[in-house]
Amino acid sequence: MAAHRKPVRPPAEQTPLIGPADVADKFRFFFDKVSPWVSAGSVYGFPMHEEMTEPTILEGESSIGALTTTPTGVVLGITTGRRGHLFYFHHSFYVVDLGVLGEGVTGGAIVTTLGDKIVGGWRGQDGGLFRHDARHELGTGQEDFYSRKAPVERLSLPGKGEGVLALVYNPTAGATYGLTTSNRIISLADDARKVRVEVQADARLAPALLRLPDGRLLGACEEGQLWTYRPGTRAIEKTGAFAPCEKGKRYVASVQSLLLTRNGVVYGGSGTDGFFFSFDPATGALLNFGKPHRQSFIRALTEGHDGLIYGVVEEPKGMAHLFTFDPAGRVFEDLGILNTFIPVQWSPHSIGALCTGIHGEIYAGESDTISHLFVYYPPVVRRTGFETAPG
Amino acid sequence: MKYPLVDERRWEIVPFKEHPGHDSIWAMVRGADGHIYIGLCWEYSGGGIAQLYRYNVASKKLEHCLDLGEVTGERPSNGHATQGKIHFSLCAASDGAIYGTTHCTTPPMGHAVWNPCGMWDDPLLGYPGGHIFRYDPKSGKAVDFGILFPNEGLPFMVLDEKRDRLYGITYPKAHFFRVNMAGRDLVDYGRVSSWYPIGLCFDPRMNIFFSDTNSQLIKYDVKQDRLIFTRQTPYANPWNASKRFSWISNLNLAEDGKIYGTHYHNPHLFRFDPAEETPRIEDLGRGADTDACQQLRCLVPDGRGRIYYLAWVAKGPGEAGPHFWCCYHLDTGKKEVLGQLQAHGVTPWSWIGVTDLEGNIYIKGNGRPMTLAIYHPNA
Repeated sequence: MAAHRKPVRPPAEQTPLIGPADVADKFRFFFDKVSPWVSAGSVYGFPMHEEMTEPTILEGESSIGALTTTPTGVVLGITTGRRGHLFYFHHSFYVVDLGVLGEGVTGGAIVTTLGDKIVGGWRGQDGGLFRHDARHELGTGQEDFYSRKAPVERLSLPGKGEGVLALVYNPTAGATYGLTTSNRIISLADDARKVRVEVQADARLAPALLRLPDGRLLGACEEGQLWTYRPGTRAIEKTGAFAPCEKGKRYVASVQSLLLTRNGVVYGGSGTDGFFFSFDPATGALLNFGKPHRQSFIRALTEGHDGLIYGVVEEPKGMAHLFTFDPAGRVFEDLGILNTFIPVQWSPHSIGALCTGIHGEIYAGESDTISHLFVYYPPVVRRTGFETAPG
Repeated sequence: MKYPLVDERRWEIVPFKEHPGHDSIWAMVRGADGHIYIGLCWEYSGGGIAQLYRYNVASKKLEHCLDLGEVTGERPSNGHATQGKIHFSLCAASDGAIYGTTHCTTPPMGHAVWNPCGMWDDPLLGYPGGHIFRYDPKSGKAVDFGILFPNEGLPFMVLDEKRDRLYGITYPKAHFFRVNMAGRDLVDYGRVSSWYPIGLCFDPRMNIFFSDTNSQLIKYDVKQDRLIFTRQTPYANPWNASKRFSWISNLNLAEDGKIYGTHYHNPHLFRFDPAEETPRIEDLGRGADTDACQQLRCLVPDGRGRIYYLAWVAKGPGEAGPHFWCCYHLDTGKKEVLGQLQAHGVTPWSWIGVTDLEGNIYIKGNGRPMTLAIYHPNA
């Protein structure tokens, strides 16, 4: 017979970290040490409608899935949700709806091609591809009090129900390349209306694509494996490089974002675990820089004019943080959670897309039931050594 | 215009002596048993745990019902932001049960400040999530339905018993959702506002009305099972064109079938007819004259032709001006300042209030220990 034992109670839990119980100036303390909002630079946030008109991009249709900047400065994007819209941002009118693309849209891609022409595509209940010339949408005359809206040219995708995962433009070839939900690489010549199937992949393609300086395309597939494709070869070449992940998670590893910088370096962000890495397409070497944040899923990357890489890390049901990576020092900085009061008060919990404006401002597309387009102006770098002599 | 103090004989102040450290009240409901159930919160310093109380209208005494740390199994010393609040979320079922939620922003023990976004997923200091609970006054036992939204508080919940539904709002993400009365079958309708809605009520058809941070009236259409953003807003001060930080702060259905409301940043009372397809909001003007009124709160329809409310003048940041107890007469539209609200050494200020079956009104009092203020209109 077992001896009677007194029930063992777990020891009382201890507060693992003790913060300051008495704070002399609670408000100042909060601002300096507690506030999670981005405080370096300026953040603007615009509702998804023109300032003067009734909203047509409704709640549940405004989640921003993709952004691109044209050479003249117009930023265009695609929304997802019950209906997907094409829109552009203008400083006079804010967000202008260019029309409904499709219903039940779950994702999209958009890329600037020749001049101010963009090519975009979406996926979801159905999928589609379009072309749009944004050159008329930048300029407003002296007494132009209405937004301009050029028509959207709709194009067909090869397969019924096929959707677009990612797009990239190759100016040398004069063609847009894309990945589709049928795991195909497609191409569209600048003036063509017919989409060509380049190759059918034997892998599940990730929604990330870029063009390497040598003309090859770089993408990713299952387990975060990187592949390349040289247009015309009709064969995808899998590399030996895999996006980093924690031990034991290879089977669910993925690439969430890819970025080609001005100096030709490729950076990427993983889904599982949220690692940030670089990839050398010449050698095939992949370098893991670690994690910019506790969360997984580096959802988007863009290169700033200040030489920093800007990224968004946000896992599903997480809280989107803007971060930077400085390639010179190889250091991350968590800039925090976006928050704005100009022109409306809003803080996004989810961000689905980034792009860099022609003046170095960073556009961030919120991806939520009610979304906004954010513009982040990084802080002005303090210059030294230019002071003029007195007199 | 100067107003005399309210008639103290009509006011009763009842202190929560057993929990002298608690500092706020955001939730009250009249149970099916006729007693008043109150969520006593610990909000402004670290480590507090919300308590559920009952004011027994027969014995005229406060009775402690639940310690939410015990209900949720989360002790105040566990390092996390604590289950310190019950916020706009007590619901009375016809069988006598009281449903409620726990809510955050109480810092962890030993901490003076805490932010739900900054600490969103911190494994040590984060908020585990608000719990939905059910309290049975007959047995004194509670059931914890657990956490639906990790890291988020549940500042609002209302009950549609006929449809077996609890509707709620999350914080800080401001999602509108519903679950059944067992806390299951979650439907998340997504984000509805910048900050979470702070005034919410049913209409007679059990549609739900609330607003976003910019005053927009939002309707949950129960028949269509969807949200309708009405683009309708109540009166806003003309200098606040964007209606910044301008929630509808109270919404209450009165016996004339109309929903009455107050506003976070102006002193106007308003109403609308929820039966209208797109409700037009009727501005009823200032709740009281300028001397007495910069903001209004605590709308309490008494079911007897009157709506009571609080008006006050804010003197400056962190400085409270005098509070006034006011009344709107449904039949005449007359607004009446009943007096400056100060009774038995306490200046009550409350966001919400409820009536008992005899028409007495219960609102948050003030002070330490926190108090319950009871208004006896017929005393």
